[in-house]
Amino acid sequence: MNKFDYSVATDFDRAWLNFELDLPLKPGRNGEPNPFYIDRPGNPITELTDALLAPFYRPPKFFFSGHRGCGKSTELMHLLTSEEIKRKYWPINFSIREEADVIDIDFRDLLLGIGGRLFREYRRKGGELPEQLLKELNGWKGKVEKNVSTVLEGRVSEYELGASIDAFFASAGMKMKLEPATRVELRQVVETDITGLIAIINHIIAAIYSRESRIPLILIDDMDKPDLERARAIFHDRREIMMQPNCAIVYTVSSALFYSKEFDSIRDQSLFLPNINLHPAQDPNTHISTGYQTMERFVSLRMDTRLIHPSALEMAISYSGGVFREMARVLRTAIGRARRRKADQICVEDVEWSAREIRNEYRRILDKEDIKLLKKVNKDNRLEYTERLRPMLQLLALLEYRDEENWCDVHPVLRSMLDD
Amino acid sequence: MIDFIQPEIKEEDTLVERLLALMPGLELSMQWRRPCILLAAYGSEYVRADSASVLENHFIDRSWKTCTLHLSSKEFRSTATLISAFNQTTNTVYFVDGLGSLLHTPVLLSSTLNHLKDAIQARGQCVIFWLTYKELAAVARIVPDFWAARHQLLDLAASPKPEHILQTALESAWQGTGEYDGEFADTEAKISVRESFLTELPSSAESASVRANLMLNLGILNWRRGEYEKANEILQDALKLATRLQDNWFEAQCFNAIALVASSLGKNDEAIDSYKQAIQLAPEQIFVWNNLGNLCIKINRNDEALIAFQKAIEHNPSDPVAWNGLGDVYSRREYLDDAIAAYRKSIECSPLLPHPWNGLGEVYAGMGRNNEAVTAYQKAIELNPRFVTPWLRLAELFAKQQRYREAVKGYQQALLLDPKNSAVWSDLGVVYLNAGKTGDAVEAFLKAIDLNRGFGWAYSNLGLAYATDGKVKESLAPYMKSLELLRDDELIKTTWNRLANSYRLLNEYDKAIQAYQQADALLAEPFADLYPASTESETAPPAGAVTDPEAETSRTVERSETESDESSATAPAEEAPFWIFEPAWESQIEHSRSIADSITTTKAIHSSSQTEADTLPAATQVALEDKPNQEIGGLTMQISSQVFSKFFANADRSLLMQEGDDEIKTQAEPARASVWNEMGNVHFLAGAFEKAIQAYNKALTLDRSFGWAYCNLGMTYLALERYAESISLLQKSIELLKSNKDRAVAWNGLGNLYRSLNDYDNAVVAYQKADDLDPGHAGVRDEVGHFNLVSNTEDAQAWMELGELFLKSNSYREAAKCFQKAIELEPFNGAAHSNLAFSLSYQAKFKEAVPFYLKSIELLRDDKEKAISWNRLGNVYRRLNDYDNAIAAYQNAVKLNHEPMTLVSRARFSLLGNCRVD
Repeated sequence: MNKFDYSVATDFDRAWLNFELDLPLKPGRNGEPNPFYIDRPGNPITELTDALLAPFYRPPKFFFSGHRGCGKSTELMHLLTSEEIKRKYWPINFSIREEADVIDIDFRDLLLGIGGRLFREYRRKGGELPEQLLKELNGWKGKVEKNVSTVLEGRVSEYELGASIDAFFASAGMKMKLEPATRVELRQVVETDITGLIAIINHIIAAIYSRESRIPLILIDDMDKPDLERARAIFHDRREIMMQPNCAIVYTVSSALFYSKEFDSIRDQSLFLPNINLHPAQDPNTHISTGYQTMERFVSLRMDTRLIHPSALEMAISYSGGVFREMARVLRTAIGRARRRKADQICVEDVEWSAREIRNEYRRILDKEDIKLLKKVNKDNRLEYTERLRPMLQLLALLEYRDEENWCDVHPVLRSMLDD
Repeated sequence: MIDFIQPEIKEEDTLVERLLALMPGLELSMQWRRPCILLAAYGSEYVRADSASVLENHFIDRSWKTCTLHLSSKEFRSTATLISAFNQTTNTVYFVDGLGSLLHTPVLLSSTLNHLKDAIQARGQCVIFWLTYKELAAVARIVPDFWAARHQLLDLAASPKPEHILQTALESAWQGTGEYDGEFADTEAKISVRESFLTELPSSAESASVRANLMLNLGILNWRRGEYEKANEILQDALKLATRLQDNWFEAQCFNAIALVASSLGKNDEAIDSYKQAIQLAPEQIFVWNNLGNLCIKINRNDEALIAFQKAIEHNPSDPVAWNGLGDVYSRREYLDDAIAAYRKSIECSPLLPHPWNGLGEVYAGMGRNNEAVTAYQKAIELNPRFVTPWLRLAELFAKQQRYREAVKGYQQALLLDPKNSAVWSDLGVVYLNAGKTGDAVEAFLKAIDLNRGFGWAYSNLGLAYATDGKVKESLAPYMKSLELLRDDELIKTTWNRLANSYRLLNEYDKAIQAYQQADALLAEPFADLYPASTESETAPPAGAVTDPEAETSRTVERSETESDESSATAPAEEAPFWIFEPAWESQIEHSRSIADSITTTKAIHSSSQTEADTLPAATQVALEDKPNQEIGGLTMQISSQVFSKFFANADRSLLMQEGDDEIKTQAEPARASVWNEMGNVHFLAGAFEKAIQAYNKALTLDRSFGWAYCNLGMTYLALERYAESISLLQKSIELLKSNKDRAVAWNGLGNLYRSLNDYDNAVVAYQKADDLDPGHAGVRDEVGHFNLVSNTEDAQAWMELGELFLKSNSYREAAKCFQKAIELEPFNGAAHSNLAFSLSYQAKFKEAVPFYLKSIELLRDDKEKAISWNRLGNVYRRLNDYDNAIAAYQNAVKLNHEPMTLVSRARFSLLGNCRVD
C-alpha cells in the first residue's frame, strides 16, 4: 500500500482519497501530530493525559470508551505525540486485532498479546534485553513449545535468543489470531501457569523500565470490538489479573460495557469519547455551532473548502450526525458524483444524492420492525442498552450522544425514510 | 421472511450505469493502492452473473485482473489460508462469494470477515463481496464492523433479462411447475399480482389453502427468475401450510418445487431428498419421477435417471416427458437406436413437444444422418421458435456441412433469442471465416469480445481472421491480447503458433522463433494433447442454455468434428450391449474413435483452413493452416496430414499404371508399398506410432525409393521424439521427393524437428528453405484426398486389417470397400461379411446390411461371434422399424451369449416391448 501523503486536497481525486473511511491518523515520523488530526471541544483525551501524568504507586490502568466511529483510535494515536507522555512513559500502541481474534478472545489471549507485543516492539525500536532475561524467556518459551508443537514453526534461529523469542511471539500471536485449534492449545498451556505468564510480562516491563528509565505505557485499541459477554469475562470476571501487568495500560472498551452494571466498580478509571453533538436532544433543528465548527475543521484539513459549496458542507455535516467516519462516507460519495459530472465544486444535490445512497444501503438491511424502533427513537431520543436497540447502535442506524445525560438519535440520513 | 423496504429510485437507473458508476472510485483505489470494500447485493443469480460479467469486461479494459474466491470452498476453511489467497499486489480486483455458507456459524463468519477486513485495509486491496439480500442483512447484523467498513453497497436490484428466464426454463424443462406451458413471459407481473393477492387475503384459517397455493406459485416464479433464496423461503412457508392442510398431493408439489430450488443452488443431495419426500407423499405423481430423472441426468447419475424415467413410464406409458428423458439418457450413453426409439415415443405421446425433436436431431447429427437431423431440428423450431438450442445445433450442423449461408442464418436466429451470448458470436465468426467472409468474421469476433472482454480465444480467432484477410500486421495485437487473457495451455500454445506464423509471413524470423519457443515450452507431449473445440471452458458462457457438463462435452465434440458427412459420426450407430462379448478390434474402434475425436476436435475455423485454403490469398495460408493437427505439434502435424494426402496422388498415378500389362508387374511392388504406407498413416492418425513404424518400414522394404514413406516414418519418429532417426529419414526423403512442394514439406518437418531440439538457427534455415521451395504454402498444406484401394493385393487378411483401420478412423465407405475386397478373395469369411454389414450400417444402408449379417451368421463358427452378428442385426432391424425381427435377433444373440443381461439390455427389451404394444 502506498505511503499516505496527508496533504490538503485541491482536487476531487485527492479529496476522495483523503476521505478514506478508516484512514489511520498515525503520528509523524518524529512523533509530531498527524496533519489531519483535529481537537474537539471538551476532549476527554486531555483528562486522560492528566490522569496518566499524575503520580502513582501502581501503574494506572484506564478504560477508554466511545461511540463507534467517533475517533477513539485517532485519539489514542494522538496521545503518543504528547511530549509529556513521552517523557514519562515508553509508549506503544497496537490493535488487539493484530494479536488475537476479537470474536473469540479471552484474558489469556490478551495477556499473551501484551507480553509478545511489548517484547517485539522493544526489540524493533532497537532495545536490547539482558541475556539473563532472554534465557528466562527462552525457558518459558520452551515450556510452551513442548506442549504446543505447532508454534515451533515460528522459530527462526537457534543461535540468537532474542530473535528466536521474537519469532516465537510473532508465530504464537499469528496462530492465536488465525488458528482456533492452536488457540485452544495455547490457552490450556497458559492457564496452567498464568502467574508464569504475568511474571514474564513483568520481567520484560522491568527490563524496559530500567533500561529506558520510562515505564511502559500500552495503548490497546479495538478492545471495544469483542461482544459484551467476552468483554465482561475479561474486564469484570478477570479484572484482578488484568490489573497485574506492572505498566500503564489504556484499554479501549465498548460503550455497551461502559454503561453496564458490571462496569460500575471501575468507572472512575474510565473516560468516554462521545460523538460530536450537532444539536440538542429532541431538537434537531437547532444547530450547536461548536459541533459544526469541529466538523468543518475535520473537512478543511483534508480538502480545500473551495471544493464544496458552504450550504453543501453544512448539509453534509448535518447528515454525518457528528460521526467522523460517517462524515467521510457522505463526502466521499458526494465527491464521486461531483467528479462524474465534472463539476468544480460539490453542490447540495451531490450531498443529497450521497445521503440517498446511504439511505438505500440501510433499506437493504433494515426490516419493518427496525423502522418502528427507529421511529420511536426519533421521537423520544431515549437510549436503552437493550437487546433490541443494540444492533441498531452497532449498525450506526442509531447514533449515541452525550451531554448532561446519554441519549441517542436516528442517523440523520435515515430520517426521511421514517416518513415513508 | 424478512420484509425489506424497497430502495428509492436512483439517477443511474440501469444496472450497467450503476456498475459503471463504481469505476472511478475503483480506479482511484487501484491507482493509489488504497483499500476498497464493496458489497454487491443481488436478488437474482442471473443479474449477479450479468453484473460480474460487465465488471470483468471493464476491468479487462483497464488491464486489471479478477480473482474469485469462494468462501464455501473447503480450502478456505482456515482463515490463514484464505488471507494468504489475497496475494496479488497490484491491479487485481477480488470477487468474494459464498458468505452464505458461513451464516450458520456466526462466530466463524465474524472472525473470517473481521480478519479479511483487516487484511484488505492493511494491504490496500480492492474486494467486491457478492451477497444475496438475505446474506447482506445477516452479515450486517452479525458483523457490524464489517458493515461499517464498507465503502459502498452496490444494490443490483434489477430484473433478470427475459431471455435468461426463458432459456433456463425451457432448457431445464421441469415438470410440475408449468414449464411446459410455454408461458414464460410477464414473470414480474405474475409475481406482483400474486403478492398483492397475498397481502389482501383475509387472515382467517379458511384462507390457508388459497394462501398456500399462492405461495407455491410465488415460490416457483421467484425460482424461475433466479431468486432462489427468496423462492426457498416462500416455498418453505408454503410447505408449512401444506402440512397443516394435510394435503399430501399439495405437500408433494411443495417438495417438488423445493427440490427445484435446491437443485438450482447446486444442493443436489437436498434436492434428491426433497424429491424422495414428494414421491413418498404422492407416488402416483409422475412428474416428480421425471424431475428426479432430469436432476440425475444433470449430475451424471444416468443409471438412476434411467430408473426414474422408467418409473414414470410404469405409471403412465404415454408420458412424453419421461420418454424424452429416457431418450436423453440413452443419447448420453450413446445407445443411439434406443434414444431414437424413446424420442419417437415421446413425440408420439405429445406431438407438440419440441424437446424430443431436438434430442432426435442431436442423435441423428451424431450418427451422420444429417438430413434427418436437420428435419428434426426444424421441427423443434417450428414447435417453439424461441427454443434456442435447436437453432444452435442446426447452425453447427450446417457449418459442418459447409452450408455456411444456412449456418449463419441459424446463428443469427440464436442471437436474436440470446443476443449477449459471446460464444455464439464467436461461433458465427468462425462460420464467416470458413465461408471466406473475413470482414464479417472480424465483426462477429469483435462483437464477442465486446460482450466478454475476457474472451481470449475470440481475440485469437480475430487475429486469425485478420491474417486470413491478408492483414497480417493487424493480427499481432489480438494475438498478444489473447495470450494475456487465455488460461488454457492448449489455447495459449495454439495462439503462440499462430503468432509465429504471422511473424513468418512478415519475414520476422527471430520473433517467429521466439513465439515458437513459447509454444514449445508449453508442449509437454507433442502429439498426445487435445485441442479444445470450444472456448466455453474459458470465460465465455455456453452458447446454449443447457449447462449440464456432460451435455456440453458431447456437444463440443459434436460441434467440432470434421466435415465428412458420412464418416463423421461421433458415436457408433450400433453398439453391442454390455452383455455381448466385444471383440478386441471393436473396443479398439472405440479407443481409436476417442483418439480420432481428439485429433479432429477443433473449431470449425480450423476445418475452414482445410477447405477454403485454395481460395485465400497465398500470404495467409500459413495462418490458416492451424488446424488441429497443426495445433498439436506446432507445424509438425500439419505436415503429417499433408504427407498422407500427398501420398494419395502418387497412389492414384501408380494405380492407373497397374492395369494389365508388363508395366503392371513393375509397378506392383510400389503399389503394395503405397498400401502399407497408407496403413502406416491410418495407424499414425490413431496414435499407434509403433504400428505405423512397422507399416512404413514394410512400405520401404517393398519400395526403397518411396520418398513419402521416408518422410512419414521421419514424422513418426519425430512424434516419438526419436530425433536422430527422424533427421536422417527426413533428409533422405528430401533426396527422394521430386517436386519442390513435396520437398518443402520435408524441409518444414526438419524445421519442426530442429525446433524440438531447440536448435532455432537450423530451424530458421529449414523454414526458409521450405518457404523458398513453396512460397505459397511454406511447406504447409492440406489437401483432403480420397483413398483408392489397390486392386492387386491378394491378401484377404491385409484387406481385413485395412478395413478395420478405416473403421477406426471413421472412414466407413473405404472400410466397406476393403471388406468387399476381402470377401472377393475369401467368399466364406464370416467376419468379413459381418464387418461389411457393420460398415454399411454406419452409412445408414440398413437394408443392404441385412443379407451380409445373415450370411455372416451362416458362416461364422464361434457362438460369441454369431451373437455379435445377431445383436447387430437386431439393431439394424430396429432401424428399419422391424421390431419383431429385432426382438427375435436379440433373443438369438442372448441365446448364443452366456453373459448376464445388464440393466440397459433389459431396458432395451422393455422399450421394444412398449413400442410393440403401442
